[in-house]
Amino acid sequence: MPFVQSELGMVLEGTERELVAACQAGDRDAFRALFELHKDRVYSIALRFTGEPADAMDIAQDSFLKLFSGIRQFRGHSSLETFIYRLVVNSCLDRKRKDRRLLPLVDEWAATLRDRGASPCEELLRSERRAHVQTAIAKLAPGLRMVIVLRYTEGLAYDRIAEVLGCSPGTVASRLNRAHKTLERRLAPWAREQGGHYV
Amino acid sequence: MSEWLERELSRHLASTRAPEGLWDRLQRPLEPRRPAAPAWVRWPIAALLTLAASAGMLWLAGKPQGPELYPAVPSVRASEPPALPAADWPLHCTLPARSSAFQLAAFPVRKPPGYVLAAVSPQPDTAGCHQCHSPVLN
Repeated sequence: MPFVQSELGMVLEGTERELVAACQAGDRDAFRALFELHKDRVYSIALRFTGEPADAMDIAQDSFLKLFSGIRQFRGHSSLETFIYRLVVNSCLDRKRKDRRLLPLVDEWAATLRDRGASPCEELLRSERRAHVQTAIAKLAPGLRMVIVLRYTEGLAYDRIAEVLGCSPGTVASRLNRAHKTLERRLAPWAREQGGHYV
Repeated sequence: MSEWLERELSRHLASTRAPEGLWDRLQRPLEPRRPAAPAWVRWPIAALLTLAASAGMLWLAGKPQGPELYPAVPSVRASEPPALPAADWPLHCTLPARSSAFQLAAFPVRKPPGYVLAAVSPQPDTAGCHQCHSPVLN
């Protein structure tokens, strides 16, 4: 059965099991359908974890190549979604941490000023906030950062995160708690300073 | 956990769309790794690179000081503008005495050769910003 896609990339036919079976049989359309179903999820996790679009593209590419080459070994012991989550999480954690850019705020601001269509003032404040939060998240230990990303980017429940990471829900709760406290400590002075100037 | 932190995390970590080019990247066959060059090729190249790096460092050390004091995009981030007399800042506006997010940057200009200093800072009492810049400086 062909997997028909709409212009928006929505899969119109085929259940997950059929999709996996078709991929295992080497159906090219099924691979495309699988990609369309999960591309945003995989890219979002990679982007929020690394903070860099180029790194996120590399991780997404790596994850999908592993998925396509390993789909024959998928036996359905966990859901396909969990299988994909594990692939992208492992790709993120395996990736060597690259040096962060020294002046992300200035780069963003300079780009904004060069862009005639944007309001420099609004963009400055917005990018300032984004950069503050992203910098604080980037400084978290990889294990804590991944829990935060799975929680806020994917909205996963504790037991689901635990299933993906292969730990107990209690460990997830503890890591989230530590990450929240660390972020609160790092961002609170900035949030107080901003006092009412949010855009 | 604070409400503001929950709000900020939800906003800045929201799911996003994958770029259009991702599928094309997956279609591209992985470039096969080139075999490593033999040692007799690597050593002369390494020696040449070391020589070039040394020459570059010597050239940089001997370079006259001047506008080069400003890097391509310098930045001052402080709660207050730098404590210099206003007359020393070649900007077309008076900077606020206090601001929560003051940023200063220099942008290189090709014609005429030089650079422009620009400053942006939010106005504490309104939703607007102070924005000003200098003429092209040499």
